[in-house]
Amino acid sequence: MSAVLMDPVVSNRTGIPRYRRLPGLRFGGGFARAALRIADDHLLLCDFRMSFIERYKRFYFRDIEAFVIRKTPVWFGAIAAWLAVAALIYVMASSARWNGYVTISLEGICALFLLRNLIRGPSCRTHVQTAVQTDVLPMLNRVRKTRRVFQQLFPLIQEAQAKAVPNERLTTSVAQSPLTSTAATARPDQPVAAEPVSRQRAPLSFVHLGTFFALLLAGAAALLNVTTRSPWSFVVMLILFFAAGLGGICSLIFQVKHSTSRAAAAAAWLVVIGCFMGGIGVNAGYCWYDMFLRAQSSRVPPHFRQVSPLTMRVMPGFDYVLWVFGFAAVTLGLLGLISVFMPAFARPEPPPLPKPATA
Amino acid sequence: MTVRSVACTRCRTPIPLDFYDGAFHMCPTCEASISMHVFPALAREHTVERGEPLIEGESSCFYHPHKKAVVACDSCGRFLCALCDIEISGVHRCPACLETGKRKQQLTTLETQYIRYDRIALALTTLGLLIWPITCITAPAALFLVIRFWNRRSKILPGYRIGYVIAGLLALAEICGWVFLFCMMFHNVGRPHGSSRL
Repeated sequence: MSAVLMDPVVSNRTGIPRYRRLPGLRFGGGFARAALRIADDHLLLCDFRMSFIERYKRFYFRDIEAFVIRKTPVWFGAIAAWLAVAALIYVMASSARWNGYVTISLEGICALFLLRNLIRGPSCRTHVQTAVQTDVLPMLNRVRKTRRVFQQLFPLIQEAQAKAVPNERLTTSVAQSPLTSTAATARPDQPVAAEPVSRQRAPLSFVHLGTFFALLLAGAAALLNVTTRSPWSFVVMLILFFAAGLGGICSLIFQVKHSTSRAAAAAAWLVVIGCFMGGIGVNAGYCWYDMFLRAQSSRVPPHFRQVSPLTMRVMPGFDYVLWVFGFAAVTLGLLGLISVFMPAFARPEPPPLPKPATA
Repeated sequence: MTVRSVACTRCRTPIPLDFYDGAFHMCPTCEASISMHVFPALAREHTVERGEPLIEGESSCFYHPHKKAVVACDSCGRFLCALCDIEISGVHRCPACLETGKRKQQLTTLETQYIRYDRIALALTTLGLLIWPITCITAPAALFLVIRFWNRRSKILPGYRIGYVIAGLLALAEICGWVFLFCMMFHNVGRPHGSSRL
Protein backbone atom coordinates (compact mmCIF):
# COMPACT_ATOMS: atom_id res chain seq x y z
CA MET A 1 0.00 0.00 0.00
CA SER A 2 2.78 2.36 0.85
CA ALA A 3 4.44 1.59 -2.46
CA VAL A 4 1.20 2.41 -4.24
CA LEU A 5 0.69 5.66 -2.39
CA MET A 6 4.26 6.86 -2.29
CA ASP A 7 5.41 6.24 -5.84
CA PRO A 8 8.42 8.48 -6.27
CA VAL A 9 8.66 10.92 -9.14
CA VAL A 10 10.53 9.12 -11.85
CA SER A 11 13.51 11.11 -12.85
CA ASN A 12 16.00 8.56 -14.10
CA ARG A 13 14.44 7.60 -17.38
CA THR A 14 16.25 8.75 -20.49
CA GLY A 15 14.88 12.00 -21.92
CA ILE A 16 12.68 12.86 -18.97
CA PRO A 17 14.06 15.86 -17.11
CA ARG A 18 14.18 16.03 -13.35
CA TYR A 19 11.70 18.57 -12.01
CA ARG A 20 11.55 20.23 -8.66
CA ARG A 21 8.68 22.26 -7.40
CA LEU A 22 8.61 26.00 -6.94
CA PRO A 23 6.33 27.64 -4.36
CA GLY A 24 2.88 28.59 -5.44
CA LEU A 25 -0.19 26.47 -5.84
CA ARG A 26 -3.15 28.58 -6.63
CA PHE A 27 -6.79 27.74 -6.32
CA GLY A 28 -8.71 29.96 -8.61
CA GLY A 29 -12.24 30.20 -9.89
CA GLY A 30 -13.61 26.97 -11.24
CA PHE A 31 -11.15 24.91 -9.17
CA ALA A 32 -8.36 25.85 -11.54
CA ARG A 33 -4.86 25.15 -10.27
CA ALA A 34 -1.44 25.88 -11.57
CA ALA A 35 2.05 24.95 -10.46
CA LEU A 36 5.53 25.88 -11.57
CA ARG A 37 8.26 23.27 -11.89
CA ILE A 38 11.87 23.90 -12.68
CA ALA A 39 14.23 21.67 -14.62
CA ASP A 40 17.88 22.10 -15.54
CA ASP A 41 17.22 24.24 -18.58
CA HIS A 42 13.58 25.29 -18.54
CA LEU A 43 10.53 26.18 -16.54
CA LEU A 44 7.46 23.99 -16.74
CA LEU A 45 4.08 25.60 -16.19
CA CYS A 46 1.42 23.06 -15.21
CA ASP A 47 -2.04 24.45 -15.71
CA PHE A 48 -4.92 22.34 -14.45
CA ARG A 49 -8.04 23.17 -16.40
CA MET A 50 -11.10 22.39 -14.26
CA SER A 51 -8.86 19.88 -12.48
CA PHE A 52 -9.26 17.31 -15.28
CA ILE A 53 -6.67 18.23 -17.88
CA GLU A 54 -3.08 19.16 -17.14
CA ARG A 55 -1.61 21.50 -19.74
CA TYR A 56 2.13 22.00 -19.93
CA LYS A 57 4.06 24.98 -21.22
CA ARG A 58 7.83 25.12 -21.26
CA PHE A 59 9.91 28.27 -21.05
CA TYR A 60 13.54 27.57 -21.79
CA PHE A 61 15.95 29.73 -19.83
CA ARG A 62 17.81 30.79 -22.92
CA ASP A 63 14.60 32.10 -24.49
CA ILE A 64 13.20 34.10 -21.58
CA GLU A 65 13.40 37.79 -22.42
CA ALA A 66 11.66 39.42 -19.49
CA PHE A 67 9.39 39.02 -16.50
CA VAL A 68 6.70 41.64 -16.00
CA ILE A 69 5.00 42.12 -12.64
CA ARG A 70 1.85 44.21 -12.60
CA LYS A 71 0.17 45.07 -9.33
CA THR A 72 -3.54 44.32 -9.12
CA PRO A 73 -6.24 45.66 -6.80
CA VAL A 74 -7.21 42.18 -5.62
CA TRP A 75 -5.43 42.80 -2.34
CA PHE A 76 -7.50 45.86 -1.54
CA GLY A 77 -10.64 44.17 -2.79
CA ALA A 78 -10.09 41.19 -0.49
CA ILE A 79 -9.49 43.47 2.50
CA ALA A 80 -12.63 45.44 1.71
CA ALA A 81 -14.64 42.26 1.19
CA TRP A 82 -13.65 40.74 4.52
CA LEU A 83 -14.32 44.01 6.32
CA ALA A 84 -17.75 44.14 4.67
CA VAL A 85 -18.49 40.56 5.71
CA ALA A 86 -17.44 41.33 9.27
CA ALA A 87 -19.67 44.42 9.29
CA LEU A 88 -22.58 42.42 7.90
CA ILE A 89 -22.18 39.75 10.56
CA TYR A 90 -22.04 42.40 13.25
CA VAL A 91 -25.20 44.11 11.99
CA MET A 92 -27.08 40.84 11.64
CA ALA A 93 -25.96 39.69 15.06
CA SER A 94 -27.01 42.98 16.62
CA SER A 95 -30.45 43.02 15.04
CA ALA A 96 -31.22 39.34 15.61
CA ARG A 97 -29.47 39.20 18.99
CA TRP A 98 -27.26 36.21 18.27
CA ASN A 99 -25.33 34.38 20.90
CA GLY A 100 -22.20 36.37 21.73
CA TYR A 101 -19.91 33.37 21.29
CA VAL A 102 -21.26 32.72 17.81
CA THR A 103 -20.73 36.34 16.84
CA ILE A 104 -17.20 36.40 18.21
CA SER A 105 -16.36 33.13 16.44
CA LEU A 106 -17.60 34.38 13.09
CA GLU A 107 -15.87 37.72 13.52
CA GLY A 108 -12.71 35.86 14.50
CA ILE A 109 -12.83 33.81 11.30
CA CYS A 110 -13.18 37.02 9.29
CA ALA A 111 -10.25 38.52 11.19
CA LEU A 112 -8.10 35.47 10.44
CA PHE A 113 -8.76 35.67 6.73
CA LEU A 114 -8.14 39.41 6.80
CA LEU A 115 -4.87 38.91 8.63
CA ARG A 116 -3.82 36.20 6.20
CA ASN A 117 -4.47 38.53 3.31
CA LEU A 118 -2.50 41.32 4.95
CA ILE A 119 0.45 39.03 5.65
CA ARG A 120 0.58 37.74 2.08
CA GLY A 121 1.07 41.28 0.88
CA PRO A 122 0.16 43.13 -2.33
CA SER A 123 -1.32 41.11 -5.15
CA CYS A 124 0.09 41.07 -8.65
CA ARG A 125 -0.05 39.39 -12.02
CA THR A 126 3.20 38.02 -13.42
CA HIS A 127 3.94 37.48 -17.09
CA VAL A 128 6.91 35.84 -18.75
CA GLN A 129 7.90 37.08 -22.16
CA THR A 130 9.77 35.12 -24.79
CA ALA A 131 10.34 35.78 -28.47
CA VAL A 132 7.12 34.03 -29.49
CA GLN A 133 4.73 34.34 -26.57
CA THR A 134 3.85 36.23 -23.43
CA ASP A 135 2.17 34.03 -20.86
CA VAL A 136 0.84 34.62 -17.41
CA LEU A 137 2.15 32.66 -14.43
CA PRO A 138 -1.02 32.38 -12.34
CA MET A 139 0.66 30.98 -9.25
CA LEU A 140 2.85 34.08 -8.84
CA ASN A 141 0.00 36.28 -7.64
CA ARG A 142 1.72 38.02 -4.72
CA VAL A 143 4.62 40.43 -5.02
CA ARG A 144 6.58 38.97 -2.11
CA LYS A 145 6.20 35.39 -3.29
CA THR A 146 7.16 36.41 -6.81
CA ARG A 147 10.33 38.10 -5.65
CA ARG A 148 11.31 35.01 -3.62
CA VAL A 149 10.84 32.83 -6.68
CA PHE A 150 12.86 35.25 -8.81
CA GLN A 151 15.77 34.95 -6.40
CA GLN A 152 15.94 31.27 -7.34
CA LEU A 153 15.29 31.70 -11.03
CA PHE A 154 17.38 34.67 -12.09
CA PRO A 155 20.81 33.12 -11.50
CA LEU A 156 19.81 30.10 -13.60
CA ILE A 157 18.44 32.23 -16.42
CA GLN A 158 21.43 34.55 -16.50
CA GLU A 159 23.80 31.59 -16.49
CA ALA A 160 21.95 29.98 -19.40
CA GLN A 161 22.00 33.20 -21.41
CA ALA A 162 25.56 34.18 -20.58
CA LYS A 163 26.80 32.71 -23.83
CA ALA A 164 24.20 34.51 -25.92
CA VAL A 165 24.56 38.16 -24.97
CA PRO A 166 26.69 39.20 -21.97
CA ASN A 167 25.05 41.50 -19.47
CA GLU A 168 27.51 44.32 -20.18
CA ARG A 169 26.58 44.42 -23.85
CA LEU A 170 22.88 44.44 -22.99
CA THR A 171 23.33 47.34 -20.59
CA THR A 172 25.19 49.35 -23.19
CA SER A 173 22.70 48.61 -25.94
CA VAL A 174 19.76 49.45 -23.66
CA ALA A 175 21.33 52.78 -22.76
CA GLN A 176 22.14 53.76 -26.32
CA SER A 177 19.08 52.52 -28.18
CA PRO A 178 16.20 54.96 -28.27
CA LEU A 179 12.67 53.69 -28.04
CA THR A 180 12.09 54.31 -31.75
CA SER A 181 14.72 51.79 -32.66
CA THR A 182 12.42 49.03 -31.47
CA ALA A 183 10.13 49.69 -34.39
CA ALA A 184 12.45 47.79 -36.66
CA THR A 185 12.31 44.64 -34.59
CA ALA A 186 8.91 44.94 -32.92
CA ARG A 187 6.80 41.83 -33.05
CA PRO A 188 3.57 41.93 -35.04
CA ASP A 189 1.43 41.62 -31.94
CA GLN A 190 2.90 44.77 -30.39
CA PRO A 191 2.07 48.31 -31.52
CA VAL A 192 4.84 49.59 -33.70
CA ALA A 193 4.17 53.31 -33.23
CA ALA A 194 6.46 55.08 -30.79
CA GLU A 195 3.59 57.09 -29.28
CA PRO A 196 1.62 55.29 -26.59
CA VAL A 197 -2.03 54.40 -27.08
CA SER A 198 -4.15 57.39 -26.20
CA ARG A 199 -6.46 57.02 -23.28
CA GLN A 200 -9.90 57.36 -24.76
CA ARG A 201 -12.87 58.04 -22.57
CA ALA A 202 -15.77 55.92 -23.75
CA PRO A 203 -19.17 57.63 -23.93
CA LEU A 204 -21.06 57.33 -20.65
CA SER A 205 -23.09 54.16 -20.59
CA PHE A 206 -26.54 55.07 -19.33
CA VAL A 207 -27.52 51.42 -19.44
CA HIS A 208 -24.85 50.55 -16.91
CA LEU A 209 -25.62 53.66 -14.92
CA GLY A 210 -29.30 52.77 -14.67
CA THR A 211 -28.54 49.16 -13.77
CA PHE A 212 -26.23 49.98 -10.92
CA PHE A 213 -28.49 52.75 -9.68
CA ALA A 214 -31.45 50.36 -9.62
CA LEU A 215 -29.34 47.80 -7.79
CA LEU A 216 -28.25 50.39 -5.24
CA LEU A 217 -31.83 51.42 -4.60
CA ALA A 218 -32.93 47.78 -4.39
CA GLY A 219 -30.31 47.15 -1.73
CA ALA A 220 -31.35 50.22 0.19
CA ALA A 221 -35.00 49.15 -0.03
CA ALA A 222 -34.08 45.69 1.26
CA LEU A 223 -32.27 47.14 4.25
CA LEU A 224 -35.19 49.50 4.87
CA ASN A 225 -37.64 46.60 4.73
CA VAL A 226 -35.69 44.62 7.31
CA THR A 227 -35.92 47.45 9.82
CA THR A 228 -39.45 48.73 9.06
CA ARG A 229 -41.13 45.57 7.67
CA SER A 230 -43.21 47.75 5.41
CA PRO A 231 -44.89 45.83 2.56
CA TRP A 232 -44.46 48.80 0.22
CA SER A 233 -40.71 48.82 0.62
CA PHE A 234 -40.69 45.09 -0.14
CA VAL A 235 -42.68 45.61 -3.33
CA VAL A 236 -40.40 48.47 -4.37
CA MET A 237 -37.38 46.27 -3.67
CA LEU A 238 -38.80 43.51 -5.88
CA ILE A 239 -39.47 45.91 -8.73
CA LEU A 240 -35.99 47.39 -8.50
CA PHE A 241 -34.47 43.88 -8.25
CA PHE A 242 -36.10 42.80 -11.51
CA ALA A 243 -35.19 46.12 -13.09
CA ALA A 244 -31.57 45.62 -12.10
CA GLY A 245 -31.57 42.14 -13.56
CA LEU A 246 -33.08 43.31 -16.79
CA GLY A 247 -30.72 46.24 -16.91
CA GLY A 248 -27.82 43.88 -16.35
CA ILE A 249 -28.78 41.89 -19.43
CA CYS A 250 -29.04 45.09 -21.46
CA SER A 251 -25.64 46.12 -20.10
CA LEU A 252 -24.08 42.87 -21.26
CA ILE A 253 -25.48 43.40 -24.74
CA PHE A 254 -24.27 47.00 -24.72
CA GLN A 255 -20.73 46.20 -23.64
CA VAL A 256 -20.31 43.67 -26.41
CA LYS A 257 -20.59 46.38 -29.01
CA HIS A 258 -19.13 49.38 -27.20
CA SER A 259 -16.00 50.06 -25.22
CA THR A 260 -16.62 49.88 -21.51
CA SER A 261 -14.28 49.94 -18.57
CA ARG A 262 -13.34 46.49 -17.37
CA ALA A 263 -14.61 47.14 -13.90
CA ALA A 264 -18.04 48.15 -15.16
CA ALA A 265 -18.18 45.14 -17.46
CA ALA A 266 -17.26 42.79 -14.64
CA ALA A 267 -19.77 44.41 -12.33
CA ALA A 268 -22.49 43.98 -14.95
CA TRP A 269 -21.69 40.27 -15.14
CA LEU A 270 -21.85 40.04 -11.38
CA VAL A 271 -25.25 41.72 -11.36
CA VAL A 272 -26.72 39.34 -13.91
CA ILE A 273 -25.25 36.20 -12.39
CA GLY A 274 -26.12 37.28 -8.87
CA CYS A 275 -29.69 38.23 -9.71
CA PHE A 276 -30.39 35.00 -11.54
CA MET A 277 -28.57 32.62 -9.26
CA GLY A 278 -29.73 34.38 -6.13
CA GLY A 279 -33.31 34.71 -7.28
CA ILE A 280 -33.53 31.11 -8.43
CA GLY A 281 -31.78 29.81 -5.35
CA VAL A 282 -33.89 31.71 -2.85
CA ASN A 283 -37.10 30.93 -4.73
CA ALA A 284 -36.34 27.22 -5.00
CA GLY A 285 -35.19 27.03 -1.42
CA TYR A 286 -38.32 28.57 0.01
CA CYS A 287 -40.61 26.53 -2.27
CA TRP A 288 -38.99 23.35 -0.98
CA TYR A 289 -39.22 24.65 2.57
CA ASP A 290 -42.93 25.39 2.09
CA MET A 291 -43.50 21.86 0.81
CA PHE A 292 -41.60 20.49 3.80
CA LEU A 293 -43.77 22.46 6.22
CA ARG A 294 -46.99 21.30 4.53
CA ALA A 295 -45.77 17.71 4.56
CA GLN A 296 -45.34 17.85 8.32
CA SER A 297 -48.92 18.96 8.86
CA SER A 298 -50.60 16.72 6.32
CA ARG A 299 -50.68 12.95 5.76
CA VAL A 300 -51.09 13.38 2.02
CA PRO A 301 -47.74 14.11 0.30
CA PRO A 302 -47.90 17.75 -0.82
CA HIS A 303 -47.17 18.80 -4.36
CA PHE A 304 -44.53 21.31 -5.28
CA ARG A 305 -45.99 24.79 -5.70
CA GLN A 306 -44.67 28.28 -6.31
CA VAL A 307 -44.64 30.45 -3.21
CA SER A 308 -45.38 34.15 -3.64
CA PRO A 309 -42.73 36.65 -2.57
CA LEU A 310 -45.03 38.15 0.04
CA THR A 311 -45.46 34.70 1.57
CA MET A 312 -41.70 34.20 1.54
CA ARG A 313 -41.28 37.49 3.36
CA VAL A 314 -42.94 36.16 6.49
CA MET A 315 -41.21 32.76 6.45
CA PRO A 316 -38.33 32.13 8.85
CA GLY A 317 -34.86 33.21 7.80
CA PHE A 318 -35.91 35.69 5.13
CA ASP A 319 -34.54 38.57 7.18
CA TYR A 320 -31.06 37.16 6.72
CA VAL A 321 -31.64 36.89 3.02
CA LEU A 322 -32.58 40.56 2.92
CA TRP A 323 -29.55 41.52 5.02
CA VAL A 324 -27.15 39.73 2.69
CA PHE A 325 -28.87 40.99 -0.43
CA GLY A 326 -29.02 44.52 0.93
CA PHE A 327 -25.33 44.73 1.75
CA ALA A 328 -24.26 43.02 -1.45
CA ALA A 329 -26.52 45.14 -3.63
CA VAL A 330 -25.48 48.42 -2.03
CA THR A 331 -21.79 47.52 -2.28
CA LEU A 332 -21.98 46.30 -5.85
CA GLY A 333 -24.17 49.21 -6.84
CA LEU A 334 -21.72 51.77 -5.45
CA LEU A 335 -18.73 50.04 -7.02
CA GLY A 336 -20.59 49.80 -10.31
CA LEU A 337 -21.49 53.48 -10.30
CA ILE A 338 -17.86 54.37 -9.66
CA SER A 339 -16.66 52.03 -12.38
CA VAL A 340 -19.00 53.51 -14.98
CA PHE A 341 -17.12 56.80 -14.75
CA MET A 342 -13.74 55.12 -15.13
CA PRO A 343 -12.14 55.63 -18.54
CA ALA A 344 -12.22 52.79 -20.98
CA PHE A 345 -9.23 52.01 -23.17
CA ALA A 346 -9.51 51.86 -26.91
CA ARG A 347 -9.30 48.32 -28.16
CA PRO A 348 -5.94 47.78 -29.88
CA GLU A 349 -6.15 47.75 -33.63
CA PRO A 350 -5.02 44.49 -35.24
CA PRO A 351 -1.78 44.71 -37.19
CA PRO A 352 -2.21 45.40 -40.90
CA LEU A 353 -2.15 42.42 -43.18
CA PRO A 354 1.06 42.03 -45.20
CA LYS A 355 0.75 43.24 -48.73
CA PRO A 356 0.88 40.48 -51.34
CA ALA A 357 4.12 40.33 -53.23
CA THR A 358 3.83 41.88 -56.66
CA ALA A 359 4.81 39.69 -59.56
CA MET B 1 22.24 46.13 -31.77
CA THR B 2 18.53 46.79 -31.47
CA VAL B 3 16.60 45.89 -28.34
CA ARG B 4 13.04 44.67 -28.55
CA SER B 5 10.62 46.33 -26.20
CA VAL B 6 8.60 44.95 -23.35
CA ALA B 7 4.94 45.91 -23.40
CA CYS B 8 2.62 46.69 -20.55
CA THR B 9 0.56 43.56 -19.97
CA ARG B 10 -2.58 45.60 -19.48
CA CYS B 11 -2.69 48.11 -22.33
CA ARG B 12 0.07 46.60 -24.58
CA THR B 13 1.97 49.88 -24.71
CA PRO B 14 5.75 49.55 -25.20
CA ILE B 15 7.43 50.53 -21.96
CA PRO B 16 10.30 53.06 -22.00
CA LEU B 17 13.73 51.54 -21.61
CA ASP B 18 14.30 53.57 -18.44
CA PHE B 19 11.82 51.29 -16.65
CA TYR B 20 13.86 48.11 -17.16
CA ASP B 21 15.41 48.24 -13.71
CA GLY B 22 13.21 45.93 -11.66
CA ALA B 23 11.57 48.71 -9.68
CA PHE B 24 7.86 49.54 -9.88
CA HIS B 25 6.90 52.30 -12.31
CA MET B 26 3.60 53.66 -13.59
CA CYS B 27 2.70 52.77 -17.14
CA PRO B 28 2.50 56.03 -19.13
CA THR B 29 -0.81 55.00 -20.68
CA CYS B 30 -2.90 53.04 -18.20
CA GLU B 31 -0.99 54.03 -15.04
CA ALA B 32 -0.70 50.43 -13.92
CA SER B 33 2.13 49.75 -11.51
CA ILE B 34 4.56 47.49 -13.34
CA SER B 35 8.01 46.13 -12.72
CA MET B 36 10.19 44.58 -15.40
CA HIS B 37 13.19 42.31 -15.19
CA VAL B 38 14.92 41.86 -18.53
CA PHE B 39 17.53 39.41 -19.68
CA PRO B 40 20.15 39.32 -22.43
CA ALA B 41 17.81 37.31 -24.67
CA LEU B 42 15.84 40.50 -25.26
CA ALA B 43 18.73 41.87 -27.29
CA ARG B 44 19.46 38.66 -29.13
CA GLU B 45 19.03 38.79 -32.86
CA HIS B 46 17.00 35.91 -34.13
CA THR B 47 18.18 34.46 -37.41
CA VAL B 48 16.56 31.79 -39.49
CA GLU B 49 18.78 29.08 -40.83
CA ARG B 50 17.91 28.47 -44.47
CA GLY B 51 20.49 25.83 -45.23
CA GLU B 52 23.59 26.23 -47.31
CA PRO B 53 23.58 25.15 -50.93
CA LEU B 54 25.13 21.82 -51.74
CA ILE B 55 28.76 21.74 -52.81
CA GLU B 56 29.95 18.86 -54.96
CA GLY B 57 31.38 16.04 -52.89
CA GLU B 58 29.36 16.78 -49.75
CA SER B 59 26.38 14.97 -48.36
CA SER B 60 22.98 16.39 -49.12
CA CYS B 61 19.89 16.71 -47.01
CA PHE B 62 17.40 13.83 -47.30
CA TYR B 63 14.47 16.24 -47.75
CA HIS B 64 16.33 18.95 -49.75
CA PRO B 65 18.76 17.29 -52.18
CA HIS B 66 20.16 20.66 -53.20
CA LYS B 67 21.12 21.70 -49.68
CA LYS B 68 24.11 20.71 -47.63
CA ALA B 69 23.62 18.28 -44.74
CA VAL B 70 24.88 19.55 -41.41
CA VAL B 71 23.67 16.93 -38.95
CA ALA B 72 22.16 13.47 -38.84
CA CYS B 73 18.84 12.71 -37.22
CA ASP B 74 19.40 11.06 -33.85
CA SER B 75 16.31 8.95 -34.36
CA CYS B 76 16.45 7.65 -37.94
CA GLY B 77 19.94 8.66 -39.04
CA ARG B 78 18.87 10.68 -42.08
CA PHE B 79 21.06 13.60 -43.05
CA LEU B 80 19.46 16.95 -42.42
CA CYS B 81 20.16 20.50 -43.55
CA ALA B 82 19.96 23.49 -41.23
CA LEU B 83 16.35 24.08 -42.20
CA CYS B 84 15.18 20.54 -41.45
CA ASP B 85 17.16 20.14 -38.25
CA ILE B 86 14.91 20.41 -35.20
CA GLU B 87 16.89 20.49 -31.99
CA ILE B 88 15.10 19.90 -28.71
CA SER B 89 17.10 19.55 -25.50
CA GLY B 90 20.25 18.78 -27.45
CA VAL B 91 18.67 16.02 -29.54
CA HIS B 92 18.47 16.53 -33.32
CA ARG B 93 15.44 15.15 -35.13
CA CYS B 94 13.92 15.36 -38.57
CA PRO B 95 10.33 16.54 -39.01
CA ALA B 96 9.08 13.02 -39.71
CA CYS B 97 10.57 11.57 -36.54
CA LEU B 98 9.30 14.49 -34.57
CA GLU B 99 5.77 13.96 -35.85
CA THR B 100 6.00 10.22 -35.23
CA GLY B 101 7.30 10.72 -31.73
CA LYS B 102 4.55 13.19 -30.96
CA ARG B 103 1.84 10.92 -32.35
CA LYS B 104 3.07 7.90 -30.43
CA GLN B 105 3.67 10.01 -27.31
CA GLN B 106 7.29 8.95 -27.17
CA LEU B 107 8.69 12.46 -26.81
CA THR B 108 8.11 13.82 -23.35
CA THR B 109 9.35 17.24 -24.42
CA LEU B 110 6.40 17.56 -26.76
CA GLU B 111 3.80 16.39 -24.31
CA THR B 112 1.57 19.41 -23.80
CA GLN B 113 -1.38 17.98 -21.98
CA TYR B 114 -2.50 15.02 -19.97
CA ILE B 115 -6.00 13.99 -18.96
CA ARG B 116 -6.27 13.36 -15.24
CA TYR B 117 -8.48 10.31 -15.11
CA ASP B 118 -8.00 10.02 -11.36
CA ARG B 119 -9.65 13.40 -10.88
CA ILE B 120 -12.46 12.49 -13.22
CA ALA B 121 -13.07 9.35 -11.17
CA LEU B 122 -12.94 11.38 -7.95
CA ALA B 123 -15.42 13.89 -9.33
CA LEU B 124 -17.78 11.12 -10.39
CA THR B 125 -17.74 9.58 -6.94
CA THR B 126 -17.99 12.79 -4.92
CA LEU B 127 -20.18 15.05 -7.01
CA GLY B 128 -22.52 12.17 -7.76
CA LEU B 129 -23.40 12.10 -4.07
CA LEU B 130 -25.09 15.49 -4.41
CA ILE B 131 -27.83 13.76 -6.37
CA TRP B 132 -27.39 10.33 -4.87
CA PRO B 133 -29.63 8.31 -7.23
CA ILE B 134 -27.19 8.85 -10.09
CA THR B 135 -24.44 7.12 -8.13
CA CYS B 136 -25.81 3.87 -9.55
CA ILE B 137 -24.25 5.08 -12.81
CA THR B 138 -21.34 7.21 -11.63
CA ALA B 139 -19.90 4.67 -9.20
CA PRO B 140 -19.42 1.91 -11.79
CA ALA B 141 -18.12 4.50 -14.24
CA ALA B 142 -15.58 5.71 -11.71
CA LEU B 143 -14.52 2.16 -10.94
CA PHE B 144 -14.07 1.50 -14.64
CA LEU B 145 -11.85 4.55 -14.96
CA VAL B 146 -9.75 3.47 -11.98
CA ILE B 147 -9.18 -0.01 -13.37
CA ARG B 148 -8.73 1.04 -16.98
CA PHE B 149 -6.27 3.86 -16.39
CA TRP B 150 -4.51 2.61 -13.28
CA ASN B 151 -1.18 2.26 -15.05
CA ARG B 152 -1.47 5.37 -17.18
CA ARG B 153 0.39 8.32 -15.73
CA SER B 154 1.91 11.44 -17.13
CA LYS B 155 5.51 10.89 -18.18
CA ILE B 156 6.43 14.39 -17.16
CA LEU B 157 4.80 14.54 -13.74
CA PRO B 158 3.82 10.99 -12.81
CA GLY B 159 2.57 11.98 -9.38
CA TYR B 160 0.96 9.53 -7.03
CA ARG B 161 -1.93 7.09 -7.35
CA ILE B 162 -3.67 8.34 -4.26
CA GLY B 163 -6.47 9.80 -6.37
CA TYR B 164 -7.16 6.45 -7.95
CA VAL B 165 -7.14 4.74 -4.56
CA ILE B 166 -9.61 7.16 -3.00
CA ALA B 167 -11.88 7.11 -6.05
CA GLY B 168 -11.80 3.33 -6.14
CA LEU B 169 -12.66 2.99 -2.47
CA LEU B 170 -15.49 5.49 -2.75
CA ALA B 171 -16.85 3.80 -5.84
CA LEU B 172 -16.75 0.41 -4.14
CA ALA B 173 -18.51 1.85 -1.11
CA GLU B 174 -21.26 3.33 -3.28
CA ILE B 175 -21.70 0.11 -5.21
CA CYS B 176 -21.91 -1.84 -1.96
CA GLY B 177 -24.53 0.63 -0.78
CA TRP B 178 -26.61 0.04 -3.86
CA VAL B 179 -26.28 -3.73 -3.51
CA PHE B 180 -27.39 -3.49 0.10
CA LEU B 181 -30.33 -1.28 -0.90
CA PHE B 182 -31.48 -3.71 -3.58
CA CYS B 183 -31.16 -6.62 -1.18
CA MET B 184 -33.30 -4.83 1.37
CA MET B 185 -35.91 -3.94 -1.26
CA PHE B 186 -36.15 -7.53 -2.53
CA HIS B 187 -36.23 -8.84 1.00
CA ASN B 188 -39.18 -6.60 1.84
CA VAL B 189 -40.96 -7.47 -1.41
CA GLY B 190 -40.60 -11.17 -0.74
CA ARG B 191 -42.06 -10.93 2.75
CA PRO B 192 -45.94 -10.98 2.88
CA HIS B 193 -47.50 -7.71 4.02
CA GLY B 194 -48.16 -7.60 7.76
CA SER B 195 -46.40 -10.85 8.49
CA SER B 196 -44.23 -11.18 11.55
CA ARG B 197 -41.38 -13.39 12.46
CA LEU B 198 -43.33 -15.35 15.06
